[in-house]
Amino acid sequence: MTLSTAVTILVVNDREADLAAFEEALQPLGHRVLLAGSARDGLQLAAEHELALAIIDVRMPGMDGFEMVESLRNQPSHRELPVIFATALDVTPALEERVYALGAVDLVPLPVRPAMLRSKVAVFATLHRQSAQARAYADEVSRAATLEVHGEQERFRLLMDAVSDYALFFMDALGVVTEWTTSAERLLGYREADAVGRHVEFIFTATDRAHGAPQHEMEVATERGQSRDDRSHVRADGTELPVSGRLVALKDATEHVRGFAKIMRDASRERAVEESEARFRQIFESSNDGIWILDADSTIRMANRRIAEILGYDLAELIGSKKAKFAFPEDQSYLAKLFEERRAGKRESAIEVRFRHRDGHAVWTLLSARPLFRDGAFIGALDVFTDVTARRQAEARFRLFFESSAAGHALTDPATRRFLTVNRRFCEITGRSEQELLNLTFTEITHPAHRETDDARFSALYAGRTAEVRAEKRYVQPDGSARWVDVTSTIIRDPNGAPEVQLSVVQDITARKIVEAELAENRTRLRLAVEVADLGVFYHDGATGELVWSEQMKRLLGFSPDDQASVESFMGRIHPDDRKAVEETVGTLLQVRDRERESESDFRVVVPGEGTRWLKASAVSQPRENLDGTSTFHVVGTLRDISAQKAFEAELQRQIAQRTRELDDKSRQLEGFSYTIAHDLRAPLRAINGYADCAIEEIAPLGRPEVVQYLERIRAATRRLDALINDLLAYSRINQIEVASGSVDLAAAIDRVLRELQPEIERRHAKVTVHQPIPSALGEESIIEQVIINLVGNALKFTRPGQPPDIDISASDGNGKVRVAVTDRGIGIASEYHHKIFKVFERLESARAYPGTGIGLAIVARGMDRLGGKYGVRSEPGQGSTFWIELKRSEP
Amino acid sequence: MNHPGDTVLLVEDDENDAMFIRRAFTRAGISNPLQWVSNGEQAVAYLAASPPFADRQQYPFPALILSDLKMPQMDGLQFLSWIHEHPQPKAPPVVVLTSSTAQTDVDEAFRRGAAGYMVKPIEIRELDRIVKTIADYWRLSVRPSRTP
Repeated sequence: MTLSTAVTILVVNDREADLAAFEEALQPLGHRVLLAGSARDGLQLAAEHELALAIIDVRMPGMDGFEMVESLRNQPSHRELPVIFATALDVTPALEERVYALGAVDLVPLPVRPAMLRSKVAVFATLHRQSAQARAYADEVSRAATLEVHGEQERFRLLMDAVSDYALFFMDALGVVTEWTTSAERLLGYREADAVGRHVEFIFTATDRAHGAPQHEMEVATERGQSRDDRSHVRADGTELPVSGRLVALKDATEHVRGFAKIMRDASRERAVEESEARFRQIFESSNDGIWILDADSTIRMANRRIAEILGYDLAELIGSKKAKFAFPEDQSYLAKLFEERRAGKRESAIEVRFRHRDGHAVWTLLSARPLFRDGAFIGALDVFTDVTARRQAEARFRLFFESSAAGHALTDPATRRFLTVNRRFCEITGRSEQELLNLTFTEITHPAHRETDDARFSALYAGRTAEVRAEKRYVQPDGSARWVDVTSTIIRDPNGAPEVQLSVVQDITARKIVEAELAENRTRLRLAVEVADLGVFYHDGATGELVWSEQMKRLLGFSPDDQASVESFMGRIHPDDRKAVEETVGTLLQVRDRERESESDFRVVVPGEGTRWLKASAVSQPRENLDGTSTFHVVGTLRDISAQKAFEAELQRQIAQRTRELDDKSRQLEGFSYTIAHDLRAPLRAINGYADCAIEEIAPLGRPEVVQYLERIRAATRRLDALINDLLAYSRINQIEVASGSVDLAAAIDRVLRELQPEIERRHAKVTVHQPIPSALGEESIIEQVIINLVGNALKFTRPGQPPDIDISASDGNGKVRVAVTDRGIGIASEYHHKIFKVFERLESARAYPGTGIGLAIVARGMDRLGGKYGVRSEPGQGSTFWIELKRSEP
Repeated sequence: MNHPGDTVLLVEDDENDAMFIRRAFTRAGISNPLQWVSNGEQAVAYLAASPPFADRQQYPFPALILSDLKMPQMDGLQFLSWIHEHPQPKAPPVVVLTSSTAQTDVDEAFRRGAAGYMVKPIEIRELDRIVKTIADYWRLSVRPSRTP
């Protein structure tokens, strides 16, 4: 019997061209080739046929190659089906890993390379056939058949030898090597003579042997038909070689294992790739930088999660897309040019490139790129991106901040103290241009007075003893003037900790310094003033309730400097009699109100151990707007010891009272004295007058007219002296009379006066006319009468020689006043004398021509003064005089 | 008391004034006898007929008293009070004749029962008129005046 040598091979590929290529390449082997255009069709065919090998495309629409293999593995008849993957993709380590993980035996590139494909397929076809023949072995025990088999084996061995990276040898059921091929020798280094007849253990490592690996492999193969392994085997020279192996159990028709065939493939390159692949993967995926790999026409073939994040896409969306998809239109040509440079073999490191995020915003990255070449051909590029968008934004913000800052900023070199960068404001503050400053050190623009302290501070800063330096100092401007600045400096250090850049922020505080100086001056003045004035000062903040007393304030209240200020302790010191008033004042001040309120009060305090003292408190309560916009108030005040002043005032009061009493006494004494004088002076006057009269009576009959004349003169003298005494008494009395102001009927008073003067009026043949009406006035009746008597008396006396007095008395009122005028047609008075005539003893005319004592008008003046009225005269020599008095009108 | 023989008592410490009043009585033609004592104490003694005025024949009870105010020992006001406090069966009116023009004196005199208050004039001839007025008022016996 002849065993058919043909096997069935399934080829699955979605591309017609590839299927045709496979068919053509495999045709010479004489096997039956099944072609499927999709994974589903492939699965269908697999279910219907016994397959020796499947060649499956990795990428297919719908179900891909991987999925199809997984599905095949679920069919018991195909669990061990050798599968070769075909792919048009680059064979990357990742792809290889996936392929072998699915139990594939090989991965071949597309387009089909017919010779290579055929050699590989032949191996699996033969292997399959041997398995089948081994099963038939027991049935076909004829030698010929055996020979046939051996012949087959020989052919297979030759085939294997032709495939450079496979090795094949056979063992019996116990694991003793029965056949050792050239391929095995080439791979493991043992010659046929050294290997055949030995138990297969010799190619296992000590460790594997210890774990019973050789036995385990055979058990698995016996059970399942074959076993797979990836392990290192020991070569003849003692080195270890990583291999991917497969042990196939050769069974007879009764399922008895007759022996084993071992096929192994050199996996050393694969392992090395796997290891570097793993490392690459790790770096690739865990990198903080975005990484993608482009193929030769700038399509993304691989990308890590980070770049997907940076660009805002899913990883799957990136793979297979052109790089250009993530660029702004205006950047396309630039990026294309960069890519062409890759093609030319140029590397790039750390250039800033912009990409377009999915949501449209710009993503700034720092790009490092290297071209990828395989066998001298450009196959693409590896790009590594660092997202610097945040940094770019921060830089832009910093630049904006730096330039527009209201503070001056300067970067200086700590080693030379030269300016590296300054902003506009710093230039303004220092009065210099940026160019000028860049040629200067900051020491040079610092006022000499600060340089020494500056040195100490900055040394500490550079040495790391302080984190920052903050100082108020002066900068000297080019014109020599100084500006006060507040400078805060910090240090940026390099990775070794050495000072790299000094960063200074500068505020112009000149205005503040001026205000501070003024404030300090004012405070000093105020403090001196307060000290000099010996004032206690207190302050109450309505917002916080804070109450502050100066030391002098505490001293005045009898507290020690350590005692706390409080309204309660203040009130506790107040004299009980003054407490109520002070409480009211304090309450008024503490009431919140919208306007300023001042108060001043005198009160007594009782200080234990020191007694009572008088204090004067002056306080101002002011509304005040707080910084947060709410309004409150505060109270400021002073306290002064006025005990001495009060004692002085009391003493003064006492003295005044005493003086008043003394004066009253004297006044009474004087009054008594006046009457005594009047009485005692009058008696002798009357005696002189009387005896002169008696003498005249005696002498007249005797005819001594000159003696009578002398005696008459004595009598006239006594009358004048009496008149003088009377007027002085009247003048004195007008000062003594207590003024009890009431309504006085002036008409009646004038009437009484005229009646009193009636004898003189008659004697002088005077004409007195009273012009009614005369209203009532406010005053003291007796004084008013005295005044009117003297006015009329005056008018009666000063008449023209030979003319009888002609007197008019009239009154006028208005503005609540009553004016009484007494007009004569007498001699008149020159205006220069008007102010003199109301004084005591001022009589203008000689006593010879006119009678009178010179006291009459003084009584008028004094009387009107006492009544609070006015008086005056209108007169011209020869025209007569009008004397007037003015009093408040009394309303009836 | 409108009898020509009714006695007028003059209480006056000033001899001169007493003399001028007596002269004015004469010049005014007043014929009533004028008894003169020089202070209030003597006046009290006179009224009480105490020595040296025990003899009512020689010192008759007066029908009118003219009294000065300012006097040593008991002055005029005290004398007025005394009379006020010692009511007599036929109390004679007391006319004050003084040089004081003080209102207090005037008020006080009337308060103590004075029947009149006359101020002694400095011009002695005025005294004649005053005395006449008193005599007229109190219906003293007035002879036809020697001077018109």
